[in-house]
Amino acid sequence: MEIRVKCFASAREVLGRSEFRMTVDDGTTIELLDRQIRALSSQLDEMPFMLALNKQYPERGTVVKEGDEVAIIPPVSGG
Amino acid sequence: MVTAEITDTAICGWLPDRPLLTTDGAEVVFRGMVRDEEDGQSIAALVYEQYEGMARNELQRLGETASGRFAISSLDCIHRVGTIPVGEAAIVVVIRSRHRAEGFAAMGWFMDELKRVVPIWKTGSVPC
Repeated sequence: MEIRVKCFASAREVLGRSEFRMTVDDGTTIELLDRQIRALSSQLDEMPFMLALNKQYPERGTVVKEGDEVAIIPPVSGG
Repeated sequence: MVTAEITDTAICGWLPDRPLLTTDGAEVVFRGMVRDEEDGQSIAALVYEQYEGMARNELQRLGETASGRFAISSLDCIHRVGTIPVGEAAIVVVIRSRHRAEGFAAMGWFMDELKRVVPIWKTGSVPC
């Protein structure tokens, strides 16, 4: 199945794009997805980012679904 | 009572649109301003980016959590995004409470959490 991945700030710089589509297996958890996204780039792997799922921080073990919007959230710096 | 807002316009004079309760003895206001220096370089402005939708929702959620953790009567906040000139506010938070100690404690917690989870980033600066 396919999900949409949005990239912000330093994650966008590292990956060179603001959004991409990714094919994952049914039953993929947010933790497995985190490992798969880290595998895209060694620079990204070293970054302490969080993942958001459909504009919320997911609970541990949440399974992603077809068409979900995942966002790579690098360390924030608002305020 | 909590409100949260994201805007791309100036917020320096912003105040919440709610009457001060007669039971409120304290109003703590925090304005986060853009400094004239970033990473040792003089700048004219900072550029803030948000994850649209999630940033406002996280601000609101944080405000509601603060309201549950601390004895405050209201928390209202607004965060500006886009290009913000030096000397202008990037964020304004207003917390009202019966006593000042709760307001100060809630403000410290809220700002610390905001800088940990709210998806807003300084993504660039405008040199002088």
